[in-house]
Amino acid sequence: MSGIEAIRRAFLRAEGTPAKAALIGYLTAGYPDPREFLDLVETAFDAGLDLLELGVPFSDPVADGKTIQASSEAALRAGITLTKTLEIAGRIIERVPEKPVVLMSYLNPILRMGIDRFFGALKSKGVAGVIIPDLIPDEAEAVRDAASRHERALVFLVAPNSTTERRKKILRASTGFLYAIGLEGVTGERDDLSADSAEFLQTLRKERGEVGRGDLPIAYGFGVSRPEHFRELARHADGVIVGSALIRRAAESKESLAAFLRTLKGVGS
Amino acid sequence: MNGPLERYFGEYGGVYVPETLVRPVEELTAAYEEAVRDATFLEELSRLLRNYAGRPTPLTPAQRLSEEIGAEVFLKREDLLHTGAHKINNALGQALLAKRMGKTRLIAETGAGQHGVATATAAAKLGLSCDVYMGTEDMRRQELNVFRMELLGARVIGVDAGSRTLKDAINEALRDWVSNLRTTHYVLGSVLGPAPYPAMIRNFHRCIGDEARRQILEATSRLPDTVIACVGGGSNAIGMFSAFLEDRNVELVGVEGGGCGKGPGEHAARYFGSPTAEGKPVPTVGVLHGTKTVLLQDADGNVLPTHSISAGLDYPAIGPEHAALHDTGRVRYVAASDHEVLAAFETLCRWEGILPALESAHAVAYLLKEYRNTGKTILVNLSGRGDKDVETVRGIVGTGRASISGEDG
Repeated sequence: MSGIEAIRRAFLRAEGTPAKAALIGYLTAGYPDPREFLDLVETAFDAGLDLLELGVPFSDPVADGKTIQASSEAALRAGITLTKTLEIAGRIIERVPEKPVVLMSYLNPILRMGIDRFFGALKSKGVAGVIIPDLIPDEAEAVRDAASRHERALVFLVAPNSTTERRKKILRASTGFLYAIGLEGVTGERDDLSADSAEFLQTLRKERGEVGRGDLPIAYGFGVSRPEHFRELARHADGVIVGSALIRRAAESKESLAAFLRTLKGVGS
Repeated sequence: MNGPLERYFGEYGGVYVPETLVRPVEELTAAYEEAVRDATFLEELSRLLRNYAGRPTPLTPAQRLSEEIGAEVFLKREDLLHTGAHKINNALGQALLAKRMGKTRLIAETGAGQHGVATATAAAKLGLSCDVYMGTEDMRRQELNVFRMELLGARVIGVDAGSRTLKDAINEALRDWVSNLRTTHYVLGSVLGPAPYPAMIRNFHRCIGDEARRQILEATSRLPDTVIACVGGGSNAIGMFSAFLEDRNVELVGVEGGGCGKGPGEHAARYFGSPTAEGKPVPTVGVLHGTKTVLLQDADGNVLPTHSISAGLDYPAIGPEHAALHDTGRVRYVAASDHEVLAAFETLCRWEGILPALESAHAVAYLLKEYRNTGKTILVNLSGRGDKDVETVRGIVGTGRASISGEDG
C-alpha cells in the first residue's frame, strides 16, 4: 500500500469515532529511553494515538521550542541517528502494522543520506511519509520526485502568515495530509490556542476545495496542550498534532503518556 | 549596495526555512529592492557610513612588512571603522532598512561579539531596541563585549543549547524572529541564511572592495596580483572580492580557520572536508540556517562542532556564494592554523604597529606563508581590529614577555 493510502485510511477511521479527528502524536525517536521506546509507542497506540510522527533528532532544530530541543539533544547523546530512527520505525511497524508512521526530519540528515536512498528506506520499512519542517515546496523539486517515485507522502506545512497564493501552492504540493502550523512561533505548549485558529482552518478547508484537493486531510499542530484544545480543533481540522505536551508525559512514564492521550480523546483516564 | 539580489549561487543558496519565515524574507526582499531605488535611503545610509562609521577607510601601504617579506603589501583598514570591524556596514544598512519597514526591535546573533556590538550600536543610533543572542560559552570568553553591548542599551541573551556558541545563537535568534515577526527584524551578521540575506549583506559590504580597488589603482596605477581575506561566513571577503571578480588576472584567496588539527571539531575549515563512511574527509553540501552550502557535518547529517582561535571564524558553514566561487575556481580557499595566526598577529603588531583581529590575522598568516619573496602586489583585507582579542592572546602566550614566535621581532 502507498504511504498516502495508509494515511488516508487512518484519517477516515478517526473521522468515524466520537473524537471526530485523528490524534497525531509526535515522539522523538528513542526518547526518553531507547530500550523502552517500542513499548512506549505501543502504549501510545493502545491509548488512542491514530498516527505517529516519529522525530529524527537533529543538532540544530530551529523550528522547535525547548521541550523538543531537549528531547532531541538527549536522543542524539543516546546515539539515535536518521539510520537508527529508520530501524526503530521498521520495528514499530512490525509490531503495530495497522497504524501509520511518518517521520519528522529536518532536511540536512536526509540530504546527507541521499534523497533517493532515504525515500527507498521509508518504503522498505513501511514508513508512510515524511514531514520536513525546513523544506518549502519552492525548494523541493528533487524531494518531491523521490517521494512520488517511492509512493511516500511528503507533508508540507502551511503557516498562519502564508499568503493566499502560498496556501494554495502548499495545498497543491502536499501529499498524505497538510500540516497547518497554528501560530507564528516554534513548537511548545501554550495555555491558549491562537484566537484565529478556527478561521485559519476554515480558510484552508475552503481553499483545498478550490484547488481540487478536497481529499487532503488537514492536521493542526503547534501549541496544542490540553483536552479542550483537542476538542475545539477537532471541530475544524481532520487531525490534531500534539508534540511537546506528549514528550513531557513520555519523559515521566508510559502510564502518564497513556493517561494523557486518553484524556485528549475524551475517553476518560 | 545597489547590486543584484540572487536567490541561488550555482547549486547553493535558496530559502530553506520553516514556512512561517517565508513571508518575512519575502517582505525583506521587497523592502530592500524598494529601498535601494530610493535616493533618500541611499543618501541616509551613505551619510551614516561617512559621518558616523568612518568610511571610506584608508588603504595602508605596509612598508616595513613589505620590505621584510619581499612583497608589496597593502592593508584595507576596515579595523579603523567605528566599533572596530567591517560588521558595522551591514548592521547600519539592515537597521536602516528595518526602520523603514516599521520594525521597532532588532535581534542579532554574535560569536565574538563584533556583530552584536555593531547591531547594538546601530540600534542605539537609530532608536531601536535590540536583543543579542550569544552562546553562554562565548559570553564567558567575551565578558567585556557582553558589557559593551549592555552599555549600548542592548540585552544580551545567553544561549545554553547545543555547543553554546555562534551556531546555537543563530538557532535561537531564528526562533525569536519567527515568534515576533510583526515588531522584529533579524539582523543576520554574515553572508548566510535564506535569500535575500547572502546577497543583501554582500551588497552592504561591497563598499570595501569598491574603495580598495579605486585606492590601489591610485596608489600603484595597476590592479593587485592577489587579494586575500579571511572567511568565516565570509562577509568581509565577499565584500572585498565582489569588486575584483571580473578582473580575471587578480588572484582571489579566502582563508578559513584551520584551527589546531584536521580532525572533526578541531577546525572550522569547510574545505578540509567532513568525515565520510569511506574514511577520507571530503567537502559536503548541506543545509543549515536557511541556506544550502558547504557544511561541516558528521556521517549522519548532524552539524559538527568547530574550533578556531578566532570566534568570528568558528562556524560550520561557508556563505553560499563562496561555495559557488570555489566550484568555478574563481576564488581559492585555503586555511591558516591557530599557531600561524598567532605568529601573524605578532608580526603585524611588531612591523606595522597594527593589532589585527584574530580573524583578519588569518589573511595575514597566509600572506606570510605563501607570498614571501614573490615581489607580488598583494591586497589584504584587515577586516577588524584586535583589541577584543588581547585577552585571548594573553591567555595563550602567558603574561610574561609577549612573544609568540619566540623570535625577537
